[in-house]
Amino acid sequence: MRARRIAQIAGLLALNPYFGYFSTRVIYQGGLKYVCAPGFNCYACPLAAFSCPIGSLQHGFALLSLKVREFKLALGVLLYVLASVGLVGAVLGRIPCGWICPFGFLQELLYKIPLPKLRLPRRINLGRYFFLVVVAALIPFLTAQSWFSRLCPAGALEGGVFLKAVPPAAALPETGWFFWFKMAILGAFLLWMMVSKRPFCRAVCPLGAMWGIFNHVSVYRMAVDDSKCTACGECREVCPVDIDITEDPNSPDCIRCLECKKECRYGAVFSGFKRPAEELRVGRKEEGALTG
Amino acid sequence: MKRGISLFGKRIRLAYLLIAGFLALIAISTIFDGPRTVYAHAIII
Repeated sequence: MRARRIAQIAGLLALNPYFGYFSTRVIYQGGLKYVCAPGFNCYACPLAAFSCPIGSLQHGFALLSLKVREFKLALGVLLYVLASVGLVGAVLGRIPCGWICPFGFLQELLYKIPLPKLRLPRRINLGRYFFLVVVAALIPFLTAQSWFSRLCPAGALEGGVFLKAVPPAAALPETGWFFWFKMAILGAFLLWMMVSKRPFCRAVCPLGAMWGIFNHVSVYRMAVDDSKCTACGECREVCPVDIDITEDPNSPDCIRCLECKKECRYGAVFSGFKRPAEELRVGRKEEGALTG
Repeated sequence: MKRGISLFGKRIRLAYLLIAGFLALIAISTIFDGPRTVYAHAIII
């Protein structure tokens, strides 16, 4: 099995390790829930050990709203969540998207189903900034409600479906029309994931939007040696988010899965922590400058 | 091409400054009960 698949399975289990739920029927409430998950993983999932950064971000903006006015708590949550996300981003950029995120893993598995495929336009990548600014920040601030979480397909799957299938000891609220509305959104996304490459990551994910901002400045960098690249296009074919790494090696859209690096038979794609690699991007050879 | 930010006469990569800044912000957020509030919200859902 490929290293990335092993990492994705390990990420799924690491973010959802609380199998004690099946005997206790109580959601995990231990100290790890202080920590924001390094991936898009619903903390309503009974097995989840960590907090969802986007759920927590919305909670911060909801506390800030004029309806709640808990400014001190809001400041604490927002500082903590943004700094936690920023810390991961400043070191790794979007590596967690490509190697850890369970929802990204699910999308890659569903895309393997043999169906006619639909290539998405590049401008759809702007959608995740809309969801970050408007749905995950502005709307919670105005309504004091976490609307992104309430409609989130990951939450519907990991929280809604899971909790219905294996109910907790405490009574669940009645299943009304809103639950089925969420299921319809989840169903639509699952179908979309079968025909397009990681559509949620590209068009919706606010966490990917935040980490993507750091791709250009993170310690971990990608680079392409123009003198080796033949523009054969194989890197784009294997890319799970359908980008051309040669255009911008540290693009905010890149999830740093390194499939392009593995696929490139000319050894033109580099990545590593050692030093900024823009020199390679403009064609200057620096043998041994990066971990190849 | 020289990159990074000049600080005390030395050139430092922006990423390292960001990491230091974010660690400081996480420390400051504990004064305002940031992690505890995240935790409290997480177990209510």
